[in-house]
Amino acid sequence: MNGPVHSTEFRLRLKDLYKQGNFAEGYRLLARRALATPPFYEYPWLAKELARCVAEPFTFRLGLLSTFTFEPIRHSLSAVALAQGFELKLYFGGFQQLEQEVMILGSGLARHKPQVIVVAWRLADLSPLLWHSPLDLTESKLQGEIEGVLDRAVELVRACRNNLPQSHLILHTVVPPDHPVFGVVDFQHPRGHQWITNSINAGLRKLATETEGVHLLDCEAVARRIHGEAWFDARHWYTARAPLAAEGLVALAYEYVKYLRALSGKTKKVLVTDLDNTLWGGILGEDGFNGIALGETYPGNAFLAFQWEMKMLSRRGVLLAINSKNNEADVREVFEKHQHMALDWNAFAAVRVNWQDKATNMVELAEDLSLGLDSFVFIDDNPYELEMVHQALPEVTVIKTPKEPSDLPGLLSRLGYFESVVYSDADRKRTEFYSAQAKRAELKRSSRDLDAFYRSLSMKLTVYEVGEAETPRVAQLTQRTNQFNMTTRRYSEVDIKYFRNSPAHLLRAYHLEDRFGDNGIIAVVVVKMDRETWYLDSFLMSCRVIGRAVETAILALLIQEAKRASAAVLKADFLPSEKNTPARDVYAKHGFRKVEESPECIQWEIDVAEASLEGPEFFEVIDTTKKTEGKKL
Amino acid sequence: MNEDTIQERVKEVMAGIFSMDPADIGPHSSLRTIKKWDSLQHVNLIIALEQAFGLRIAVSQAVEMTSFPSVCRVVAQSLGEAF
Repeated sequence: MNGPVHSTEFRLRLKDLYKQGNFAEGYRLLARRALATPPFYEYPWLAKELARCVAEPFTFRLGLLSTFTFEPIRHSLSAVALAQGFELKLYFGGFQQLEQEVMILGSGLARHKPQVIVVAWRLADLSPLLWHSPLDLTESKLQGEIEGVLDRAVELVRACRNNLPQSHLILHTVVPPDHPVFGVVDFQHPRGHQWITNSINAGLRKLATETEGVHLLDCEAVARRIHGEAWFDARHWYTARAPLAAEGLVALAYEYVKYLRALSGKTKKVLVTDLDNTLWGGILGEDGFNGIALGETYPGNAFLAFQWEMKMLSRRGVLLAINSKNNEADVREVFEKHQHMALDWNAFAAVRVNWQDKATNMVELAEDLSLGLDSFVFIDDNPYELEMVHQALPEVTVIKTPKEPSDLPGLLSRLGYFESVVYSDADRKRTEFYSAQAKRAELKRSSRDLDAFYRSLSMKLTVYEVGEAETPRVAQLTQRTNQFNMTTRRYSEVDIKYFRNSPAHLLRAYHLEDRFGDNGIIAVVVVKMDRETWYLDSFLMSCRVIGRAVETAILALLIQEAKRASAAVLKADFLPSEKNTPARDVYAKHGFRKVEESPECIQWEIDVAEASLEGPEFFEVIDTTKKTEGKKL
Repeated sequence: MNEDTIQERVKEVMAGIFSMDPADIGPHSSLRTIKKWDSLQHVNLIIALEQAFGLRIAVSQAVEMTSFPSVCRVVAQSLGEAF
């Protein structure tokens, strides 16, 4: 059971944010909640608070005409729209007053000056005969009844075009009853309910195609997606003439917002995707080519389905791009050789596979493609990366992948960021065009102010002397870490115990906490001490925290400790492996001197007394080793 | 679920539907005292209660719900915990 969103905790958090004037963060919390299918009763509250927090909404005037009570959609529609940046001014037409609203000059609808008018009707209301007793009608009467319904639609559309020429019109298609007249054979029966609704919908389709500004909403598809009692609630129909159940209302709200986005030209153009745990399961740099999940079994099949969905978007004219921390060569190998990849490398108009921060990459992608960042949608599994991109570039729409891979396919379609009302051949060639442009582009790289972002993370780094409790995790890190691992020396628990007890070794573990939570032990250092010479036998860090300057903080701490122990020189090796390219330049960047270089080993050193390396000020550092003053030699 | 828990949760749900502070809802709250409680909001209230408690409220029960105490009673009955 879900606790209501207006629980005290959520309210207090919002209140705090309001007090600080931080409405942007309030908006984000609320929008995330509104788009994560909350229980229906939360929408009124969400809509109210979202309206208070939204910064620069795109205002839209919407009129809803219906043959039934449609008012219950108000709050969910407002909340879903606000969560995507649209502020709706809603007008609900009088009950069953379609023609009156459209034809009478100065009607409530006309005064509302709607940019879009939705016409929601049910066959039961349009023609009770066709709904309840089509068997009582002769063939010609049946045909006549169908034509009557269509004539009404034609007249309504004509009146709309004449009296409200500025308004777009969205017509619902009609849906057959859950239990149609001919039961199981209804679909194939020449005069069944399915045939009746198909005939009406075909007429509506013709009308929409022939009249500019008229669009159809495939209500049957929406009903099919949720079906049954979640769509039609008999109780509310018979008691309040409100036929739609909560889920049905929310599903329609999403459909309307898709149309609004398309009609207002707010369609997103670029889908930027992460790779690990987004296009495939697992981490390529850790799990390897054969270890990633992609293929015929779960969860690989869910990732594969997501790739197909992206491919379809690309064929429809959405540009795809990659923004990933990986080695490009490894990634290309997957694209070229993995038998289950649905997407190929050429499907991407621009690519950034490297180790720089993703916000910088995003700016470069926008420059490559000459498109504004407000047309970008970025999907990633890592909340840290999403937060970083959001803070640096708030105009980019960021989406977190769902917890369960099975929820990944369909996610983009549901959110509807790429909806458009027109499709052309040019859409299919768009990727080629942009990728050529991206390749030509001369890029100016802007450096961004990362410090502000790091500061906002409130990172707390604790350094420990490794004890019994930490031993298994420390051993595990030495065995599993590939990317940020200077020497890739693997140690067992027995080895770690030996180091702990050896007077010639110094063993340190580093624990990182930030405002997203506790990352646990994320780095390990093993130093061999030989009188005044310290040798950095192992220095490794979990790939989860690459790109946060943690290595700078660790090296600064280590040098301080070496100073305290009166060591003269700190030596370190970099042993290149297939996977540790990301760590290649670390020593150079931190003031170490290169002593010797061969393909197998690069040797570095730094004079401890002269080293001026300082840890970044945005870390709160807790050094628990100071108390013991290290080990005396 | 005990009586207090039910009451607390009903307060939260009603507060959401009628845009009120949960603290302002109590034994005195009814159709008469809550202005926003019309037939439409009544439908929303039923949907909300069904979702919040994971139950189904029949039309015959829905018409009995005219005040905070009667809402709590219907919910408790539906949960099989009459009080």
